[in-house]
Amino acid sequence: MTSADTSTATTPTLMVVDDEDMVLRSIANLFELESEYRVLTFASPREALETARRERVDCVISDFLMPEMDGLEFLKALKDVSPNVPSILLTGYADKENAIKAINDVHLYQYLEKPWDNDYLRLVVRNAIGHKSLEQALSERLHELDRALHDRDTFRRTAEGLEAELRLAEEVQRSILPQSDLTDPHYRFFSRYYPTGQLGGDFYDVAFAHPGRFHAIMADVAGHGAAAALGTMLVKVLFTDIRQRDDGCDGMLCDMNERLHYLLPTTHFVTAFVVRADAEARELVAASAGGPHPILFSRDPARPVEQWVLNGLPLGAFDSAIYRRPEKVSRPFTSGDRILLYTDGLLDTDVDHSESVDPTEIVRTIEDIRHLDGNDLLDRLAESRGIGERKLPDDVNLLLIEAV
Amino acid sequence: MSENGSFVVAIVDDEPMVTQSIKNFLSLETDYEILSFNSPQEALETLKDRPVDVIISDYLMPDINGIELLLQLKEIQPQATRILLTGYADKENAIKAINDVGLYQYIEKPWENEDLKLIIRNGIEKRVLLRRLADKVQELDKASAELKGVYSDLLKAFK
Repeated sequence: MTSADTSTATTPTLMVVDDEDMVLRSIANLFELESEYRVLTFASPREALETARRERVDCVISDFLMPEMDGLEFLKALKDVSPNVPSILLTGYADKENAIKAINDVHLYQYLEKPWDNDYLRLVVRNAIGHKSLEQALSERLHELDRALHDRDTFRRTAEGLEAELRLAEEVQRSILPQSDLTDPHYRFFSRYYPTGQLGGDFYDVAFAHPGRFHAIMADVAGHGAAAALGTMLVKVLFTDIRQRDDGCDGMLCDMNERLHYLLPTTHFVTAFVVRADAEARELVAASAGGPHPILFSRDPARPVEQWVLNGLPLGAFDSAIYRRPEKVSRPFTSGDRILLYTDGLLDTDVDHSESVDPTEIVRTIEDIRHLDGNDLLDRLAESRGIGERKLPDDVNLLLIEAV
Repeated sequence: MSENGSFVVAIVDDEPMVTQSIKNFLSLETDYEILSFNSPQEALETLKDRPVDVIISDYLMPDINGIELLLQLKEIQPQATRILLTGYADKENAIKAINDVGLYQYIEKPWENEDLKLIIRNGIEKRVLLRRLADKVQELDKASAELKGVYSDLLKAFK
């Protein structure tokens, strides 16, 4: 047995089996000189089988007439050891009929009559090895495909499980918004919640100290998804807890800021706007933590529609922030007066942001519809922003409060 | 493959006796659908819009020779396996053309029918392997695109 040294796995291996040394040498010379193949030659078919058990073979050339066993017996035995090796049979003229009969038995790749033509043999071996490598590539792809389909299905199941939890989380999130219609002898409340179908950071709440006096908050936890949604829970709890003290709005935001700064992950923050209504004082008091400026207006067309411009630092970003403002933070709020609190989703209602508007656009829209009843007004406002016609990039929350 | 699912073999030779004898033999021994042409022009005309699996062409023909014909057919149907029939004298040309034409194999005249059958069988198997490979690669692309889709939906929901 002669062989080129053990070479890399990518070099195709050609096995040649013939009892005549001259044949082995001439074929080995041909391929060693003119190809990249690694050539293994055997005078004994048995030894060749032994080697095929241990090593990968990509093509085999076998003589027909050999003393130990004939070429067909050898190729049949080789099929058991290494089923996918294409085989080429060298036959004398007299054995050709036998070779032809055996084509199907051993799935012979091709047979060549001795004496063979070197060019032709080279072409046949090239094709045989090409064939083998195609089969190899195919079986690798089949494996990969199996794995990919399996991964995909596993992933899909995981996704379905997570999806279900997401729906549940969404329900929970929705449940923290005021559930029943808010009623008070002095105020009427109208609200809308347009979800994106994903978890978000929008949140609003109204909390009464007693009839005629309440705090309302419109908040947006930065970011989307589960983290933002969990943030809204925190804001709800803090808001419910702190408003018990019924301070002014700036004190409330101070308190919320301190606790949120402690509780929220460092990169998270909350924008909010808080108002406190008092029916006795017939006024609204406000404080801002960077939330959108609410819009103040009245059914009375003589009063202007205006933004309540009040600025402040977002909650949770800095360890101590002051929300007391030098400017006036109260406004008269008497019969027929209204305030619209909203989240910034209202300004940006389509996914490619081509419909982004300035708050002054909302002011103009309200100028046209301020006379409408609360529910109609909110519906018309939503309609004017294309809500309901397209997929929203962000949740939209609206809260309209009207003094009776 | 033809509409009824059998493989299609095209034979081009200016001698009707040759095409007829190959056609008879293959019709008897195989399920292949055989298209035979006695002029290269006729073959080019038909094969423009008739996909085949294997094309066998004679080398020596009037007007254009087999290598030129196979070269043109390679443009039209690159995926078909190309086989050249040569006389002994033209063998050198055939060998030179292997790479240019993407010749799968050449067969010397006079050929052994069994030999021809085996070569055609191999040519068809190669086609089948290539087609299945392309299919699998496509399925694989699809599966990984789906995987990415599910993944990015998840990311969107939970980030």
